[in-house]
Amino acid sequence: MVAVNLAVLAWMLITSVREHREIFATPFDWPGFAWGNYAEAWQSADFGVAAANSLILVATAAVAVVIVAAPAGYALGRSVERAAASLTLYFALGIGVPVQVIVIPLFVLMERLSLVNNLFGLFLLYVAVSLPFTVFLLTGYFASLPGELEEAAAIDGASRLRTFWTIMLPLARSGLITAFTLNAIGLWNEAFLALVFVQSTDKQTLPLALLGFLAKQQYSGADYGVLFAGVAILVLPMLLLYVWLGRRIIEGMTLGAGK
Amino acid sequence: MAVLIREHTTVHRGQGPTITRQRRRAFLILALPAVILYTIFFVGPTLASFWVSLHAWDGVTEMRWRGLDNFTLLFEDEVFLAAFRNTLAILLAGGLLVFMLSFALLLGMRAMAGRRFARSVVFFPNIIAPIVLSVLWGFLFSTDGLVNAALGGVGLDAPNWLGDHLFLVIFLGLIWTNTGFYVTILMAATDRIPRYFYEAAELDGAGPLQQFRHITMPLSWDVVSTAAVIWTISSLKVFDFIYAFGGTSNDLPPIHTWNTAVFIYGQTFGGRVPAYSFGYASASAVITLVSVIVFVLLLRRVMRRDPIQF
Amino acid sequence: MMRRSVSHRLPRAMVILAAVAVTASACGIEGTKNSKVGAPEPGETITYWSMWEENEPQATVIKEAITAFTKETAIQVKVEWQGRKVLQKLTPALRSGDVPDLVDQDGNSVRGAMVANGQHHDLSAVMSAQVPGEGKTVAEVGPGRYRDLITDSAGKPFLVPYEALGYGIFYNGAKHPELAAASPATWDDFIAMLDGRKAKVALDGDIGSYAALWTVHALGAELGAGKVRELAADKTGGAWSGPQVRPALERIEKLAKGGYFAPGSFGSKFPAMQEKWAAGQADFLLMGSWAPSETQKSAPQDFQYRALPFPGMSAVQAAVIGFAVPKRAAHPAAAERFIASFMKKERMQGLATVALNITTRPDIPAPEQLADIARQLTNKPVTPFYEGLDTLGTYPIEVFEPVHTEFLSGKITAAEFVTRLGEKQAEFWKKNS
Repeated sequence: MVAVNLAVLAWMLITSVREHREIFATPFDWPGFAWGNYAEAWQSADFGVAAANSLILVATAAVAVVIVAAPAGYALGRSVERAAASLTLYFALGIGVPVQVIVIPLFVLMERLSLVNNLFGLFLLYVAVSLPFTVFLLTGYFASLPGELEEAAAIDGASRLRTFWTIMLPLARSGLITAFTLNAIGLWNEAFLALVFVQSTDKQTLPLALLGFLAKQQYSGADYGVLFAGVAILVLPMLLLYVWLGRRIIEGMTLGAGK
Repeated sequence: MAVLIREHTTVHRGQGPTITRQRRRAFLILALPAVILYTIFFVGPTLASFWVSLHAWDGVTEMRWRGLDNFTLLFEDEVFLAAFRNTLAILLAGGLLVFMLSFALLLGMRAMAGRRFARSVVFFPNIIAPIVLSVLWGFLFSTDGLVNAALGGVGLDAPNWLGDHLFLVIFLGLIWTNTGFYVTILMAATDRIPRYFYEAAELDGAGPLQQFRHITMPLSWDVVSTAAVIWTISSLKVFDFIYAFGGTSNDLPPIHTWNTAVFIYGQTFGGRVPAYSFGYASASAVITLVSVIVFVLLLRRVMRRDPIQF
Repeated sequence: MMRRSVSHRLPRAMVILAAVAVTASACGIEGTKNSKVGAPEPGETITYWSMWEENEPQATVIKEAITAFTKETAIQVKVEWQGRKVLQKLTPALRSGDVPDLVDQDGNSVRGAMVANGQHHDLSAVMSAQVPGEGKTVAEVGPGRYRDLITDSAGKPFLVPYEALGYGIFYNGAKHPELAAASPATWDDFIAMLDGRKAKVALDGDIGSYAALWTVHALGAELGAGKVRELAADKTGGAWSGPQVRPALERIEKLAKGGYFAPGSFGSKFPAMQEKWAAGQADFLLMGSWAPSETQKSAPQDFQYRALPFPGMSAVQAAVIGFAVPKRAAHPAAAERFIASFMKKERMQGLATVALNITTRPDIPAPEQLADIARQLTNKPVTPFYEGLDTLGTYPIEVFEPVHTEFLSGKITAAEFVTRLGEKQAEFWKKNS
């Protein structure tokens, strides 16, 4: 499986520097080093502005999700209150709702709040739609953390909030980083909400730019080399983030668990 | 996902009323921001779509009341029923395969050198855009593609994958992309298990399979059941990967490959001339959502087991 | 191909540009007076949501037209280059009422997104307005030809088309030079021609609507305008077993079972087959007029795009792209005025010379690679793309295409096709009544 995945990655990168005609003649072959594909993709899809928008939006939204979801996850995961169980289910069910269905009511709501065609509005939506999964994930994570430290803190007279902040949060570090990474990757590729809620070109995100780029090929000529270059531009930052944070997860684990 | 799986432990029993009140207040402060945001921007619109499901609505003009007609129609609609069957196939057969593969990989990678690297690589298909995979799949599985060349090479019949077995091909792709995600989650769980458990087991002469059964599984059970619930819920929402097989950016994939999420898209925004049947689509979403609830409750019952604190 | 055609076309383009500049300055004097449409205020700003992306050639042409328009009328045009998904964005906006004054997309998409729910503005006034400085109405200079494709149920136009798309059987003129003079007139001639040349037809059969082109064309040729849609709209599904349908289906059955489709036509993924066609591994491709631009990167240098009319067909399947105005637009008069001014020859010309599309004005020569299709569009009556089946909601994708692909790929016979289609269709209309 590792080998297959590496082969796919290699194939994608190789194809992104090949010429269109060659790709269809011999899909699996060595690169022709058509570096121009990247330049063409970058320019013709307006990737510059879109990349900046995506970067800011995804970074802030993924952080905000974790900031909002972590306390909730702790409260739900380590509480005796009966409300906790039903609230957890309440969040869990949200994971199953397809966005296509809520998009019209959502649009009416955002319109009333004057948040359509507004990156802050999209930020709010991203946080909201990522919450169910993140709360769910972190609830499970907090619940599975060892309880002794928390009990010790309670005996020392620390308040719940304090316990959460000083003891549990650091313990949960790897869970938080995992949640951040998964959300960042998911939001980075999110196209549907952006499509509906962003109207100006200067506010579009990378997946939107890629989508427009794909649709455009129908009228002005397809070039799969350029297409793959475009996709690589979208994919590589996330790959790097994952490789970088993947290491942090392990670090967080050894620091946090302390075993 | 502990709370869904087990009733909570009894650690805090016997504490005074003041502490209880204080705990309740802390609970509210911690959980409230998420609950508010989620309720306004997610649950509200979802409830609105329940309401919409009882109407005929094009999204623009006034809604017309239809009562339960949308639902009775859906249960007779061959297209929806086929989509629902596909959804179930992904959920059950797909789930089984994804978890078996994930555990196999977990086991295989436990002792592997460079497993951090391997872990990153396994996750990779999750990041890559579905369009790339669909193009690659096209080259691999076309009648003169690499797969058939390989089959021909060993003297086997070369089937028409994309023509006759498109759903199977998509299904395999889904398994492949999703496995990485679950390996990652499960690995985060098993990494927390202290090494000395394994060292002790090894001294007692336990092989890797036995270690897996007696240490890894029980100690990561919480996370395994969480992952199972996540799969149940998210498998119903699989969309991009099927949609990417639609050919041009205007066309939907053939209906025999649809799941309910693609069905919903096909009834609302999808296709060359979109249908904009929001009432009908909402009704199908309600059915999907109800199935989620049923499955999650079932899973919760089946997988309930006391967690082991360590 | 690309490079060669550019170098060929460049001098011509410059001549035309120069001509445009001259005409523009010549009629600039009287340009502002010709406002027969409504009474827009100078200084108004209209919002235009475009189906093009800003760096596409079509956008360049439209931008120039906007600049000229603003100079003439002092009406500002604020453009959002939305791209092809423009109507997807419009739907929620229509609900909330904050709509643009002007949008563009192909006729059937606009019909689905704006006309079906009564959110379109009647554009009769624009069609009968004078094109500034030309002494003719908008309908007269060309768009009037496409009337059947752009009117709502009350017969009022909802779209003013500026580009036309037509269908034809594309081939490489360099490989089959004799065909231009002697194109097969009947279906039998066509099959004889294929046999004689041992020619193969390329088809990306994974796209149901592309596969359906063959049968829908054959039916349209046999039955005449509007009849195929009637078959599909028949609530019982029984209409398909009528005797007049059989000859066309039998022809297609022979095509399907006769091995005329290039290998892989039903076992690969778009655009593999049309790429193979462009690379010379197949001879014919039944496709819309975007085929040349889609395949130009794969075609060899000496590839000459030519297209045969569908044999035996007295009309040509066409689609149009044009402007529409939402009902609740804030500045409909100004938007209408912009549309009328865009219909000037000098404004639209760039669509043919720069963007290489066919315009709706027959007096603007089509780009060389689309000349055959453009001739069809000018000389024959037009009939809606797909014979209008795609205006029947999800009928094509849910009913027609799945059964049809089985038929065209030779898995079922014409008789089985009729039975199965009839059953599915009856079910569909029961559900959608």
